[in-house]
Amino acid sequence: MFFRQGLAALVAATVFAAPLGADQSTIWPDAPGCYFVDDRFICPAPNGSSQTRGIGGVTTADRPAGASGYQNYYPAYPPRPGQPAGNWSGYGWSETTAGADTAPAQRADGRATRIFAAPGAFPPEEFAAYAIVVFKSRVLPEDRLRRLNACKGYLAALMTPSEAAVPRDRQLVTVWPLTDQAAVEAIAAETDILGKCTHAVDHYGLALAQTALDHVELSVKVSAEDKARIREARGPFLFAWNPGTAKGQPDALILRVDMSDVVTAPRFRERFVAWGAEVEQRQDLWIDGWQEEDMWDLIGAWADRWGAPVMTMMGWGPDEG
Amino acid sequence: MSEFFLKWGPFGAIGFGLGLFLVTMAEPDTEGGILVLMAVGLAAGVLLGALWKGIMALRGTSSSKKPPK
Repeated sequence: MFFRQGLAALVAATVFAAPLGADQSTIWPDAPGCYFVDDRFICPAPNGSSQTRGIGGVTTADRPAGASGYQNYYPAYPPRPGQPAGNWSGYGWSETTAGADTAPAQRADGRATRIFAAPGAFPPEEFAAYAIVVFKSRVLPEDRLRRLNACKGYLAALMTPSEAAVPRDRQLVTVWPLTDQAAVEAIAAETDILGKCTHAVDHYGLALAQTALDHVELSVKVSAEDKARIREARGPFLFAWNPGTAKGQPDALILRVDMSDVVTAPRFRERFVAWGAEVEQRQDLWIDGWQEEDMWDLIGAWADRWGAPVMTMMGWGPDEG
Repeated sequence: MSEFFLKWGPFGAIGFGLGLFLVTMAEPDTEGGILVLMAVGLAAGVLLGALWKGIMALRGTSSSKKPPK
């Protein structure tokens, strides 16, 4: 994944490397916020994570090699201001990996946050992007402790929207789905983490989770191998859509994390912290794919996962931290 | 008994060290996780020892050969 991100960033920096402010006074009048840099037009998306770009006089064969994430070809390049239509015909594309000319302020202050949401409040449209914590089933007594651990890690690692010092349209929210609004209110009324997590686990919104899984299954951007991995693994998963409004669209980019190997609350917390850092630091470079885990984290999680049955087998009782 | 420890003790020590290394690096959260990684380290040490002894036997220089009387 890092290779792909690096490649995309390199391509973006190489192909679109235009000095900040160069020719930005040349605003395309029909599209507020769009401007020309030399012979390219650039339209930053509201959350700074997506840009529409184009180069005059090129064909589809001239697309930059390896520039992943581009799509939506426009048959007519918009005319440069003051120029007659047709002089600037060509092709453009929507580039989901922003280049070096993206305003830094737009991509540096996003914050990963969390909310508990009932179906009526989903998807949370006021946020810049959102993710969902997906379990494949409701809780069983046998895996209740693990679910509680996941919830504790989730609460410990991520801030609430009111704690984050940025407006909601700059927040990348991770949603724990719930069955109904009453559960949301019950969690809000609880003061301790165990009480909140008891409600969150008991009223997990399986319908929302299944919808998210369906959207991932329908996505043309997720490979067959990845879909098979999702079908076989026990979860939980984190799926994020960027932009959030693209959820459900077959060509939407999906960032994903598989936490099937995690058992303990501290390990869940680590994964959610890593997740928050990933979506904050790389919000301008979101690329379809798995978040890579550190090798030692994987080994530690693997040992914890198999440690519990070993301890039980030896008569030393369950040990799930 | 002491011969057994002389033969396999060094490899057990290597395996124990390997297990400690795994535990230090991976930092499992549970006692079960520590147990699993120590077992993996010990198993790796014993396998290493068996491999070493196998190679030595093939080369005819096994340390387990008794000297001719």
